[in-house]
Amino acid sequence: MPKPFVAPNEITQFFWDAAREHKLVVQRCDDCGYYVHWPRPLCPLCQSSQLVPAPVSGRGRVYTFTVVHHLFHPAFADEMPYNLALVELEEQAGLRMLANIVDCRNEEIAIGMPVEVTFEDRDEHTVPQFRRATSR
Amino acid sequence: MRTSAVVGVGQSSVTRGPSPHVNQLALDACRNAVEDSGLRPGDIDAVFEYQFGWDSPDCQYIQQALGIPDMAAYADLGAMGPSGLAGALAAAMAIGSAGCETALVFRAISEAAGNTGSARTGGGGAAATAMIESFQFTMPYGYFPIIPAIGMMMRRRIDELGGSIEDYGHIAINARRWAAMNDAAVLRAPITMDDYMASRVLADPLHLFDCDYPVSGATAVVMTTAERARDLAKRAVLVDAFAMATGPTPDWLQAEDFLFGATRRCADRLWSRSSLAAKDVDIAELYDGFTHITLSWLEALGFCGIGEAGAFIDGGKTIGPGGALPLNTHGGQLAAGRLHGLGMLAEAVHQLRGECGERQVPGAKVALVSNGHGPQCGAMVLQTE
Repeated sequence: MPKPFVAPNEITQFFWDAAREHKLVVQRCDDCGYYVHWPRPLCPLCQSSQLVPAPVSGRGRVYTFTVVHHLFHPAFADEMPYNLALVELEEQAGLRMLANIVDCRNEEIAIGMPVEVTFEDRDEHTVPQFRRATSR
Repeated sequence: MRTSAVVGVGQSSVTRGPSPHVNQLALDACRNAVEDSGLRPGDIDAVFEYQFGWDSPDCQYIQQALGIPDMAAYADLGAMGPSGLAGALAAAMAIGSAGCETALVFRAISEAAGNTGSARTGGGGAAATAMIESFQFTMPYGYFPIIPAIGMMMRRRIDELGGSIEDYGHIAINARRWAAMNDAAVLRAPITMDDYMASRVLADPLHLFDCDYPVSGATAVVMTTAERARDLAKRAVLVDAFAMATGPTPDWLQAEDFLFGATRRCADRLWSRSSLAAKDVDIAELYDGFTHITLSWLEALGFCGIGEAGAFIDGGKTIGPGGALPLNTHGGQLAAGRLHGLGMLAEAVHQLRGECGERQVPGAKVALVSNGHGPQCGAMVLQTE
């Protein structure tokens, strides 16, 4: 069973197009420089409409995480228990992205652990994931 | 602004498993609340209800069924509000501004609608999934609201503020202690810390006993002006102050204050509007959809300092029967069932009227009621004269 994927709309399409090319981009306000995730039409800081997709380093730290033991959706049955982590990107305090920490045993994940983006190709789309950082 | 008061409280049956239809539950609770108030349907000119997108009847359905001749104010409140208390908050605003005189407020919920342990995305189904953009960035990873978010908050809280998983356990144990004295509660058997720790892990470190207990049931209250309330037979319970808050980044995962959501903003706003303070509160009915929510409110409201809830609870003594701050005195949603917020208000009114029998807190005159967490916070200070 395929994992759930919600069809992008015109506000979010850029994110998934970039992910397909294994690039992590996040909206950034052209007027005040604030990074914004999840994508939206107006900057929440200055209400500018000049939000443009900006490449980010893909580096960050685990802000918090959980290990899910309850089967919410049958597509995850083969991976129980699986982890969910909120990763704070290094570009901006509070800029958080949800993902799975891959290539890592759940027992090894820790708050504050440095991570970097990686990309998981699924059938019709690609999702950004994070793994333990190797590049520093 | 006119002061409002709660003058009637009504409850339907509360069951796990087979249940009357949710429309019937809503009607039962509403009729009981109107009867309890001593008013007649013709005296009511407003209805407010909270729902998760067609999981409950709307205001006009109830209006017609009860024979309320017209509504000067009404609202079907949904989704991102402070649970069932949203209706009571709306009623306080409408009564305060003379938009209406007497309001009926209800929350009716079925066990299926209240169960977040499935892959549903909340009310609205496919339409909500398409509308709420954050789902695009969470569901592909196996995140389904809201249990994993609470698990992540619990882990972060212990890391950032200290304390332990047992702090949460004491909230769960406390609920059962009170429920043992409440005939209407659905989980009345006492539990120990060992039972809590042995309960199933859903989203580590969140256990099953950190979650409230989905049931089918409805709660309703009748609210009117303080002036009119004083003419009614039962003791008036006045709304001393009320507040809502969302925070500046309204989302459960992207909140500015990840651990507390908007509870601290809501509490600060509440106390700024109240003639009372935390030290004046005799009983606290603090939302317990998850134990983390209750700990947040305890600290946000200033019953103790941030990060000090574990020490404050003192192994459960402070919040149990005979304690300095009796907490969730009907068993909360953890033990009396997930009535989705309005049950906390109903219990506060029963306590302030002195109607609680074995579990009555002697001399209770001031109650704190809170609902929600994340960007969905609401609270009230209630008192009797």
